[in-house]
Amino acid sequence: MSFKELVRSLHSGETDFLDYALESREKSLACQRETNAFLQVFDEAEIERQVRHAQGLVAAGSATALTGVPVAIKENILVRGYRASAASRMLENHIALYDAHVVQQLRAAGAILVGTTNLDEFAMGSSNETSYYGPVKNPRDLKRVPGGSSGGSAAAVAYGAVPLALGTDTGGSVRQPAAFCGVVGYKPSYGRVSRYGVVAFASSLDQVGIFAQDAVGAAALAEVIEGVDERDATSESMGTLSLESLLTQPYDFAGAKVAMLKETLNTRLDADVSAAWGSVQSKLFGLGAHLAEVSVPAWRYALETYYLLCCSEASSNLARYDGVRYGHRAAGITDLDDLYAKSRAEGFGTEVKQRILMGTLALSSGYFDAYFKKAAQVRRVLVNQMNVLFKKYDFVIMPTTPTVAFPLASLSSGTMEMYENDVFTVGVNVAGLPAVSVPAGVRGLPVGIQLIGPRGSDEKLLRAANRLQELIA
Amino acid sequence: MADDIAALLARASKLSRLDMSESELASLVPRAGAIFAAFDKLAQVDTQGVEPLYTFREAIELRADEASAGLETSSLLANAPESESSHFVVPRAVGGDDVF
Repeated sequence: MSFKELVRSLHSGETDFLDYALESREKSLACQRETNAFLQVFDEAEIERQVRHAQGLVAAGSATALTGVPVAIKENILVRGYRASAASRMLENHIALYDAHVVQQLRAAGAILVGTTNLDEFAMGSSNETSYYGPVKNPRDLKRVPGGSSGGSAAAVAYGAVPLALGTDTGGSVRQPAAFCGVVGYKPSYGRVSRYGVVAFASSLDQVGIFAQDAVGAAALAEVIEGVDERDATSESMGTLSLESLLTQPYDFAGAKVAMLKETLNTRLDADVSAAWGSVQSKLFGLGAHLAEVSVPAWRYALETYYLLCCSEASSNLARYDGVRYGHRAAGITDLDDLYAKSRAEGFGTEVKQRILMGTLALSSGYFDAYFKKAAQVRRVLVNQMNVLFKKYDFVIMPTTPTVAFPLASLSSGTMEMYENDVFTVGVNVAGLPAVSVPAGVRGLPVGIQLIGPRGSDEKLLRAANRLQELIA
Repeated sequence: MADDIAALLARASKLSRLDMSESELASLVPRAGAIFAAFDKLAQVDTQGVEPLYTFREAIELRADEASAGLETSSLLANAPESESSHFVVPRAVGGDDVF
């Protein structure tokens, strides 16, 4: 069911709020059994309480497009009173003391929070295999990964347990699993959505993102969660996003200038990805879009820049886990140094430790200029080159990933082979841009095609993504 | 990156307060070596005179320096591994019984 049809059905009374929410809960439990996508499914009493609130909004004439709509939340986003583990042993007993900004906004809009979803530990991974709670299976093929790090949220939407889910996208963690699972994944412009109450990984790259069956659903959720929040100093006003405009002003690709980055065109693609990519190019051409090959030289270094920045920021952000105020504490401790070092060693998994070590090195005396500072300089070069591109072009387009979902346990975490999965997605985070991955598979496994716009152009981007999805369907 | 990745990882594990065994660190050496070799590619980019971009909002607006209601002490202690009345409890950090 399209999101528009779902809202019509809920608002007309054709679909009962409570029946629908409890059905979503049941499907979430089934999804958990089959794919391990959920870490917590809330009990019936909690769902009923939220439905009563939603019904109250309807009675008061304050309903929104999200009122009565079930949503799943990645378990690195705080939901008051529920565990916020970030899929780490470090936080396995950590109960959120407050709601994240995005969760507050969802509650105010009358959305129904159904449960929390699995992820790579601290959102570090591209396959959802580094979770302390075990890997998630891809609902489209249970022998394959769902992608990561928001693999649980992607799987929950692809399975049909919920129509919408929240994830976080630091280097592709919404778009890559969306592509692997065959759903829409939207990463907003950096600063558009408050990170208050989101477990920090790499603060200059992290952004809350959205999974939906279509771009209209993504826009409906975005409209609710975006906006300035003084509790996140990096949140910025970028104008309001109007769901209405998506529905009433279909994007016309005739005359649109769409860039394909030369730096990505020689990347080896899986046959399914190549077929989908070719098909999208032909369709856009058929609509009258001007497709051009454009060079952005710094994009060639986006992957290395990204991993240097994210590991460095992670090593700093994760210093807070010291076994004192919250999180895992090792037993048999003799002094404070022992407390820190043993608690952290026991609480973190291998991928997280590796990133902390690499980040610590990149920030340490003697290496700071050559690594962290250098990456931040290359980042500005990339931002400047993308700004030049967007003076002439409306969008950049490319496959979201070079491959389809790969088999479980086929790639080792923490290797360049695993990191190279992110080769098409990380540049977007490094440059702070918005991007939408649209399902575009034409045979076999799901494939995502990614549309990228200039920072702040989210509404136009979602309108275009909506049109692109209609075109492919 | 200097050749001795193993020594650098050992140094980083101390700096980052991660108690890791020699074998655990050794198992990370090949992949860390490959990753730092990739990082070294950045030297190819001419960044002479380029200001580093650490965050997008380079002019942060500060809020008024006013107290606002925060969480209750009991809530803040709720997730602590060990607490007593209104304190976090940690192992003794200094001296023996005769210090105080």
